[in-house]
Amino acid sequence: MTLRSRHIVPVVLVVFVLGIGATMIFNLWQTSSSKIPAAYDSGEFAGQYNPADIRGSYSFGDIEEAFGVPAADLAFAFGVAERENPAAFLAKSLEDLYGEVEEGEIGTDAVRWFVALYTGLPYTPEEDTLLPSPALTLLEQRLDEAQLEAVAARIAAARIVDLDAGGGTEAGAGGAGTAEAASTGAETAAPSGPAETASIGAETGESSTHSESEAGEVRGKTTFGELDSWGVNRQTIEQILGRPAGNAGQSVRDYCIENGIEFSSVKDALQTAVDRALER
Amino acid sequence: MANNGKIARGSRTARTRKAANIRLAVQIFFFALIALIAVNHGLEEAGKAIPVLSSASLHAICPFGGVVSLYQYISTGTFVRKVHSASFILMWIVFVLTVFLGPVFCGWVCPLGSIQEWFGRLGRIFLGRRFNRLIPYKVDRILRYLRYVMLGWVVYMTAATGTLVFADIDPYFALFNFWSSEVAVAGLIILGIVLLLSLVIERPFCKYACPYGAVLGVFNLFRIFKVRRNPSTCIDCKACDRACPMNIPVSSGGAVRHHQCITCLKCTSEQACPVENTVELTTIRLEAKEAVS
Repeated sequence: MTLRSRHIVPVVLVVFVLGIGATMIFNLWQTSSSKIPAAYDSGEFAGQYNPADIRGSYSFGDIEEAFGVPAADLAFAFGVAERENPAAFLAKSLEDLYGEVEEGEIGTDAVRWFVALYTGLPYTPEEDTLLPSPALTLLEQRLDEAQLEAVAARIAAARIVDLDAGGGTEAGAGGAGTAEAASTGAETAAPSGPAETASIGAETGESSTHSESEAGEVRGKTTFGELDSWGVNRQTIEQILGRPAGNAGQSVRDYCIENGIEFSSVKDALQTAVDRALER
Repeated sequence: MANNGKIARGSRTARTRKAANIRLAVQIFFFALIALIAVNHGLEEAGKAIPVLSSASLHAICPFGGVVSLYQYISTGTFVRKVHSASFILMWIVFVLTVFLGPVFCGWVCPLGSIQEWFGRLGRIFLGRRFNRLIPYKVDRILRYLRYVMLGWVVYMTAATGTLVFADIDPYFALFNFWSSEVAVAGLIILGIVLLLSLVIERPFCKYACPYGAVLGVFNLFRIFKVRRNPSTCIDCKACDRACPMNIPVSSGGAVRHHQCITCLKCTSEQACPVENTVELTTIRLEAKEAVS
């Protein structure tokens, strides 16, 4: 049998169309991870979705659906209320929107923390996580005085750097001005209580194409493989975690959620181990 | 057509042009499709996605994502971060095509290959016959194995770290995301280098660095439809050798099993070969005596 160029075209197109079509029919074709966060699997909050599993690829609409926090409130809290479709705003876009914030970061972890505070679910944010000041306005009715004080200590003097943001370009209180600066060394304002073990969804990957961890910097999305590539041996990791480490492709945060460990409680120790390994 | 099998010049030129245009149309189609999907992905993040058209991330629809995820998928049942089942499915679809037709994906579908080819057309205008002939054959032959080194490194590092290490240096990702903040500077620099080199060398990335091309190239050893030459009708004009963008010496054997063949069909009697039924994409042995390797 001999084929010519004119035969190649239908062969290629038919194989692609049939292959993709058939897998779509059987619901095997997926181009993004499910937007269903992991749930706490034990304790007081068992069965409820865990804010720790909010990914950068989640839109405010996805978060509203999972946690019941209105997308409009999220948009107001993070200074994007005047955008055309705030429900479609992705959590990961906050990092680009706010850019470099002195002494901290307003990103996906800030959304996790805000959702936890808004819903009363337990979550300990990363140490450098900050919130923009409008978030405090929304939380005033939901937190007690001590909690509010602690949150107020981690409000960023952040300006939105993305000039495309509709209307105001600043994330000041009420969207009307630059927020007051505050120190970031205060205690965490997360509701007391342990972060309960949460089961993890079938998908471990994010659909986002956000940048990977900076080399040598331990973050939630850092994988065990990256720790290994930075020279931290498995034994050291297991000493810090107090249990067998996860597989190379698993992120440390996912592992912590799975095993009921507060990520922030091991992050510093892991960072120290990485720093030591990189110095060697 | 003349008695010796040569085709009349006028009809041959028309047929050659038609065959070349068919492939060009397919290349433009896939280039435009991927570009639209990449743009739509950006629009979706802004809440303005074009309905019906896919808004998947490029990682999710890249068949090479399936290849680099294989180790993790076999060992833990999960995909590497940012890779989804669609990548796996595309990997198998391309494998099926390649078993039959060889790396037809490289020659007809891959947008990065296409844009290198289009830049090469510009280079050919300036360099004429020197285009794609600047590197000595012996050096070039060795350099072509670099893509297997690249493949080994990418697969190992992806398995070890569980992240898409290639994404930051991937010119394909940079090509369709150069406007977004998701592209690493290294990726943009490599894309620029690849496009500049394309002005003097045909498909430089495909030849020397593409890890996916390395995988698909192996299929050339056992593909079902091979580019075959009939030595008994061949007039030894070397037109097939000169036409091959991958510099494969097609005229030196019966069947092309070279690991860099991309099934572009430029060497065949449909295009470069002036004698009918002498160089063909076929399952039938054309009185072949030895293979080009």
